[in-house]
Amino acid sequence: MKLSKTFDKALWVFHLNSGSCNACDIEIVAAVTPRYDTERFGIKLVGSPRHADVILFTGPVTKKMKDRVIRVYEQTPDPKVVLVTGNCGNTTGVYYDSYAIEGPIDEILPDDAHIIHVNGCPVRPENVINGVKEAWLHLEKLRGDNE
Amino acid sequence: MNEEKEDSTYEVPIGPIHPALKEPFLIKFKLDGEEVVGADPHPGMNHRGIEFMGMHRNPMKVIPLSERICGICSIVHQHMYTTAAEHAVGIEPTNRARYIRAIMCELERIHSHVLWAGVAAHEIGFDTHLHFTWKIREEVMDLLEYITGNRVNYSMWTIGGVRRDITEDMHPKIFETLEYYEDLYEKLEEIFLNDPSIKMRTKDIGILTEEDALSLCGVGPTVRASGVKKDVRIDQPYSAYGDLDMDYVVPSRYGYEDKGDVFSKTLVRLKEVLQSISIIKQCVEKMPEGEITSEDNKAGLLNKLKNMGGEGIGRIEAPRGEAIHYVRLKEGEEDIDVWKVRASTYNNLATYGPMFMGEQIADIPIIAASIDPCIGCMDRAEITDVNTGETRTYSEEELHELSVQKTEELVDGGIE
Amino acid sequence: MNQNLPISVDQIEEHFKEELGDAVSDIKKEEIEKGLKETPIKLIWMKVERDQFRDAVEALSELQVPHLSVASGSDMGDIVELIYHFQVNHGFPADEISVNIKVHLPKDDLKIPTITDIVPGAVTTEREKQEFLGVDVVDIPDSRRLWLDEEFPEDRYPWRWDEKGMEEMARYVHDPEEASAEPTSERVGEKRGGEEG
Repeated sequence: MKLSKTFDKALWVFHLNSGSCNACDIEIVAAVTPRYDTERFGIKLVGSPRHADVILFTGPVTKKMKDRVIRVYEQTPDPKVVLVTGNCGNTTGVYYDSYAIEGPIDEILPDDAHIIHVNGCPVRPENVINGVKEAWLHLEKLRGDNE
Repeated sequence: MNEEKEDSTYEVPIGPIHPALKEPFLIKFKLDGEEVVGADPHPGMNHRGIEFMGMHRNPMKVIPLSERICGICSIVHQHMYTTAAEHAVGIEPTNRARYIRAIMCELERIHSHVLWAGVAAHEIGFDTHLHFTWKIREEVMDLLEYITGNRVNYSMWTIGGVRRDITEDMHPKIFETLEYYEDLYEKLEEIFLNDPSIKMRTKDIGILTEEDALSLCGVGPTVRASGVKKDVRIDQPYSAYGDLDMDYVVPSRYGYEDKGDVFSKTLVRLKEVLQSISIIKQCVEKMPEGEITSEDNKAGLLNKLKNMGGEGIGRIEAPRGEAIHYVRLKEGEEDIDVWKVRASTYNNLATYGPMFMGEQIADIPIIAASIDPCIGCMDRAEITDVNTGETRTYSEEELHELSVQKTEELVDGGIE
Repeated sequence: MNQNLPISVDQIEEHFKEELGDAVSDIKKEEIEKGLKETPIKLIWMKVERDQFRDAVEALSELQVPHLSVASGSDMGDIVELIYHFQVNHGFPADEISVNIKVHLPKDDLKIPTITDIVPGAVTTEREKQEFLGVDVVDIPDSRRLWLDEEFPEDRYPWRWDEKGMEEMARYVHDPEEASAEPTSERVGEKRGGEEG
């Protein structure tokens, strides 16, 4: 797929741990630090969902985090893409059979959310970057649709 | 507390979402102006019901689950769970497996402590140091990947031993990595222990006295910085640690004061990197020949676990301090009967109380990070005025900004 | 504080027998050997009557500032068993002893006195026992919930196996037919049933 020339700004990512084991989270930080250095592509972690183009969720959604996940999703301006990293975020993975798990992110967010799945337990930094690239292409398409 | 003072206190919840790496976590602070007069941690955002899940699975299925309790200390929980299960049914791991386990634990300690140093530097505004430490951390990640096949979550442990061997042809790569850290160590110490502006932000801040450390049952580098000699590796040697030559890492051993402030905690963690390097070298040298697991037949092992009852304890020194698992198996039952998991941060939560007392808002991030919380999180601070009920919210960025500002002011004020 | 540290497992046994008399029973001493030098891990298990439990902790604190690792708990039918995992002799290489004190509480009277005045660090684990096992810790300084959310039912406890347990609340079950899980929406049900059967 060719990147559209209309792409006019670098992607800003908001990272939210919705109940993961930290493994994906440290790999995401590894992706922004010198070895993988995503900032050279303009991919950057930001401190507020209101600044973000992409929300990066890690882990299954726990009961206490469910409302916060939805709130963060709603606070992010459109067009937005949701990136779900890790097997547990996509399917709940090993965390089945629990009273404290609400479910994978697919089932928490509204049906019209644009979700991109990144697999791995945990995801490798390369895969995170690949996921953000996929999100980029998806956002391009969304922008095109809106114009 | 007199009436005037009560009127001027504020409550500040901090958390539970952070953009960098830490898990969701909430601390509610009581403030009197700039001064913290109370801290009340509220964990549970990340409560996944791990023990409940474990108690509905068979002992073999719990091994991968235990690894996914925490991604930074995945080895730790696997180690404790398998040790506890081995203790319960009386299985002995082979001696070679014990040495491999010790090597893996120390490699993880190096990566965890280096990671922590970066996070601590970030909290006080030294992002170059964050990037530097994460860069050098990649070396040990490479080694872990070389040995196990994955960067995080290694699936190395099994009941009765380990699943992958550390063979002789791996030794050059191991020594190469250790040398890399030895060469860099001086620079690390220069940055974190001798830099005047870092010293100003870490010295005399977040003090935990020896008395508090003992009575609150704190664990790991958090209490060793206060001069408390608690280290499971030495106190009650597990794996291969009984064979090795090591000593408690407390600041007084290196000519510093056992003060228990953030500086001492940094010092202890850095010295432990050096200690880990020495332990790995000893282990590689002394590692005996033999099988890597005493239970080759997995179906037979599961059968054994099913048919034998018993209770066992697995207790080890994780990078963040002592952690413990308790496992009980019931005779003739497929699932685990009881599984209790206790990680290091659980005990260290209580130490937040005395550590935050009397400190400033701008020091909150670095003190919170100083226990190396596995669920540490500085996202946004909400300040409620008790009188008017007005709520002011600090974002994580604002809070971080405050911390950075303090560093800048101190630096501008002049370093001698 | 006792000056004769480190003390041996036998001395601990004697000390408890002296202080508590008949209230302490089922003493089990264990040594597990580790490594080439066979340095042993020393453990001692004992059962203490509930009324004397505080005395037992006090007896322990006479030896050294006790380190409470954690209290584990389980539902054993008619009783709830709590095990307090203490450590003594910390600071002495290879001499640390795990002292595991078991307390049995009858189901119809699930009460245990707090030990936070003797061991201030016990408050986290006591709060946890309250919310996960329904044990009433008498005089606990802070009885709020720690891990579970506010909406979680008041009379349900995750670690109980009886009617107060929560088997039916588990949603993401491995075999949907065996468990009585009720998915909250049709969409969830369809998806799960297909994938995990």
